[in-house]
Amino acid sequence: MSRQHLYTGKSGQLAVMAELVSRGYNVAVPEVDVGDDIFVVRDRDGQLSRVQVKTANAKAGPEGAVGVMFNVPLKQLETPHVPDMNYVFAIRHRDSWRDFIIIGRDALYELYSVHAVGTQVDGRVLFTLTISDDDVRCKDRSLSTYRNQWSKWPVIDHGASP
Amino acid sequence: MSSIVINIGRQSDGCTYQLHPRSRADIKRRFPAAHLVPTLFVGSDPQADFETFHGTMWKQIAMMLTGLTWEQLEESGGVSMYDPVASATTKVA
Repeated sequence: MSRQHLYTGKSGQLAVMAELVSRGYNVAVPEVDVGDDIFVVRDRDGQLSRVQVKTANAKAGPEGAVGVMFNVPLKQLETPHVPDMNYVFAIRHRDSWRDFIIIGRDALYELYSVHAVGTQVDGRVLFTLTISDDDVRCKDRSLSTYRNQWSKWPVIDHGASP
Repeated sequence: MSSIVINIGRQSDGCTYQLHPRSRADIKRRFPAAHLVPTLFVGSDPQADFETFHGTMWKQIAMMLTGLTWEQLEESGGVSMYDPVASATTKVA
């Protein structure tokens, strides 16, 4: 049985952790896998956020676009939490990171339940994304708002005076 | 209008409440001036019985989340609490 998916998943998790650390946040990985991939901590005040990373290799599509699929557990998507979950869809293409789609659980849940983005299969919701230079689309919705949108974790300058 | 649904997320130190996105959209459409609260967390003793402790507050929680009176909520079809993990829905009386 192929272990490639283990390496793919871990690479995405590490890539997201690297981005968050470079933005000045501390990161931790839970010892026990309960659905959270990364805990993100703002050291100055201990503010905690939760991130689940989904990683996939994109496949070439028409007119230079690429296609990729992610899935999240429906129950996780439906369940509110404080602090709430953030999803990062890490998209790999041709040996490099193409894009990261960063979206809060609540926003993704709204897209699914109100705007019929995503398809439910066996207790999971599948999101099929088409990514071009100009847009990121899932069904007929643009998700470009969430493309490489790391603003939830604004860069912290640890060299600045307190 | 169908019942307003509030999703519940149980945690070790309390419970998070959030309007179902469709309910949020319905309320915004029907009551444009309503002041909706995105999330509400109510802390509780881990040993407390969930429904005994939280159940008594569900009407207040529904009013805070929606910005509506209980009469308005009843006229809108009432309120149900949905626990996704337990796959359980409870009508708020």
